[in-house]
Amino acid sequence: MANRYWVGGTGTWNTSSTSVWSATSGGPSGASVPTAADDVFFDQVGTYTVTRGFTGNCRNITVSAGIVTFTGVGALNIAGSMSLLSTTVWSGTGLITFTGSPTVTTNGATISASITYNAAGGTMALGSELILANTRTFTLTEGTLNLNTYTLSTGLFSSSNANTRAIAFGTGNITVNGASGTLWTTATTTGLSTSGTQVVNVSNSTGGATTITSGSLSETNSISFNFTTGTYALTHTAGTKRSLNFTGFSGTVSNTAQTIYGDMVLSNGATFTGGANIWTLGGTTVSTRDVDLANKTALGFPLAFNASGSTFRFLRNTTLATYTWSNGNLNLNGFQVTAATLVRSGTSTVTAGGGRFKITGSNTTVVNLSGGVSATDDVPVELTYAGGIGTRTILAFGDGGFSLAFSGAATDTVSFPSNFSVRNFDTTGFSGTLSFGGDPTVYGSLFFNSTTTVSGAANKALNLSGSATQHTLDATTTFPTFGRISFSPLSNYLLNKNITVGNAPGNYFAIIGNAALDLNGKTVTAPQGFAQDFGGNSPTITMSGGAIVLTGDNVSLSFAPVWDTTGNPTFIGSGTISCTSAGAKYIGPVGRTLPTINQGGTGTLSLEDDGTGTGYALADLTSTATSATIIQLQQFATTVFTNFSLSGTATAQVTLRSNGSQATVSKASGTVSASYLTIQDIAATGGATWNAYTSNGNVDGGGNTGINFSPTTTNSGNFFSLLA
Amino acid sequence: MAKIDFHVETKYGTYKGAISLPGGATLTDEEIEAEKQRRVANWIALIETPAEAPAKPEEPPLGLEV
Repeated sequence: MANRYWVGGTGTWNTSSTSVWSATSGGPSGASVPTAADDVFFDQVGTYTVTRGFTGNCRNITVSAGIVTFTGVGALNIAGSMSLLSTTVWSGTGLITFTGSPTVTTNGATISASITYNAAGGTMALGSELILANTRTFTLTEGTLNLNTYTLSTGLFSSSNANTRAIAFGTGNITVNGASGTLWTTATTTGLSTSGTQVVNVSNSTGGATTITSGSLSETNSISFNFTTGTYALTHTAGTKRSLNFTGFSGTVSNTAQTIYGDMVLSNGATFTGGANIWTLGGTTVSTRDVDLANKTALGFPLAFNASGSTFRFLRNTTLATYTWSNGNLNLNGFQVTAATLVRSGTSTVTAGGGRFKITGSNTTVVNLSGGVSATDDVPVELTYAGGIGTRTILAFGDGGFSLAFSGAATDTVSFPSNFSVRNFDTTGFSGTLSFGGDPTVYGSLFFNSTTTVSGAANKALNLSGSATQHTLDATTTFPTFGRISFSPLSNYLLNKNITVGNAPGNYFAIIGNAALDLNGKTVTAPQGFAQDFGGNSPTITMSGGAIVLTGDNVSLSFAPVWDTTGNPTFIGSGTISCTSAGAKYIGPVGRTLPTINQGGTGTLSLEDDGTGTGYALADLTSTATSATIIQLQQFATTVFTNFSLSGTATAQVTLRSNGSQATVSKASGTVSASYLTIQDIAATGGATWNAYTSNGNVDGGGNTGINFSPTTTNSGNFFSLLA
Repeated sequence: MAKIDFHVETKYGTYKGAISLPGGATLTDEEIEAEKQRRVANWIALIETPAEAPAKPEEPPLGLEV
């Protein structure tokens, strides 16, 4: 091993000339031509050219002074490191082959030669950026190329063999900028590993057809490719990529099968050739993956979203022409994603972030979100179609976080063949038929537009769920009739339209647990109603002047109560529970505090407490029956009234009586003035004066106390007005 | 030898380089910035300059009929 110093000024580095070499810096010439064991130095000031016409050898090569130009076609084998100045000109085109474990520091000098690194077990490290001319090739044959933090720029990068080799990107990157042909090939990936940032920029600014062959590197070893510029025909052979980014590219991209483990960003200017080969956004590493299809509304090849646990985040309004969604989550990120259908079966989440799906399909299954598809926020799904052909089917609609809306004024049928869940459901924009083949569970607001025809709902259960946030039930004109309507715990609803439960056996209206319902002056009509405590909580019903109209009777309800008082809801405000059947019916089985009870039909209405004697507390008792009827109170129990307005009419006498022995009615103050009542076995108490003058059509049916059936001249007691 | 790593974002990607200062050499901030810009400009010129194309057959002088 020796040092060889260039002292030849402008001269030739060949295999024989010793006149240019010295054994010492600036010393006398005559030293032998350097071998692979010798370090060579160019440390003389001045500007000179070293011409290399034949293959040379050295260990380390160092340029530390002067402006040195290396030229010629001779190859150079470097067994050690290379250190150049930024002013060095390497216009020589002979292949430079590094072995050993060199550090290559060229300080930005452009190398017009191709470089090969070939050292089993060795590492070639960059000490600065390494810039090769765009006609040259960097070949990694064996060993590790360590970019550290620097850019390696070359016309072509090639590493396609079965040797053990690695590209340690560190935080550096590689740019390939050849004019045409293959600019990158790792076709044979056997023995190749990568690490670090794994970014390759393809910057071919010419129009030459270009091929990128990434091979099938594993997800861990895969490399990102950025196509930063150019208008050319790009063939990227089938294989794997970390990310694909075409920003800046305006050429034509071939259709080959790709597996992409990271982001996929297309560009407006690029043309993506159609075909059957799928671009799969796959992999197992959980990450957020950006998807930007640019302005491509009709990509001619299929996309497959298939990365379990990862989230695909859209970066703009996107149209998915042909796609499958097999795994992974979707983040609409505030944008609109348009597709013919929306299908996923399995555990996935969708985040709208203010965005929405727009589903354009017709006469097919347009939505099927099953098996654990959930929404992290309100995810609107807008069905848009303007025709009238066939049926759009929604087989499943996720976990209830998806909202359904319409546009296009289609006149076809939208079918829900099975039970389904929905957040908000608004039929505005749909002029066809909604066909309910299953029970809807709603977590938000419901609105039925008058242009929508509803079929099948009359025997389906409408389940209202949701949260403490108040939602509405509304319609342009009429809210459709359902078979059952129940308000689940935690739900909170406001009626903007009357709601109706069809009059059929087993149908009911129910409110459960800590659900809250504001009738808002509207009417709930059902055969039967009940409020059920759940989880230690009781429902709240705000009447707001509204009514609960119960149409069932003992026969149709199989002797179940028309208003089941097993639960103990809190009624707020004034309103009425009206029992309208012409058959006998009862409220029970437990005495509760209730709003105004109205006898709305001729069949006997009984208030029962299973004989517990607990009695009821009523805001009022009224009758709107149009013919003679009976209201029956629980014997031995006291019914406490805030108001007592009960009266019959000349053609609809009302009998108020006990169901056995005497029942008690109580009102704290004021004067009760009844008309057309037949009263039997009733004890009237409290601070009020109870007048039921026979002159007003009242009849003393016997067994009564505390009731004035005739006017008195004096009032002799707190509770009784004696006969005059 | 001191070394200054730098990176510059360009439309062709991030240029990541190093400026070596041999011996006791020093550069002013302006000189360092100028060197960065020079290198990046060279690199961009390399990208934007079409690579050597195969020599075309010699064409007849304009104006002559062939």
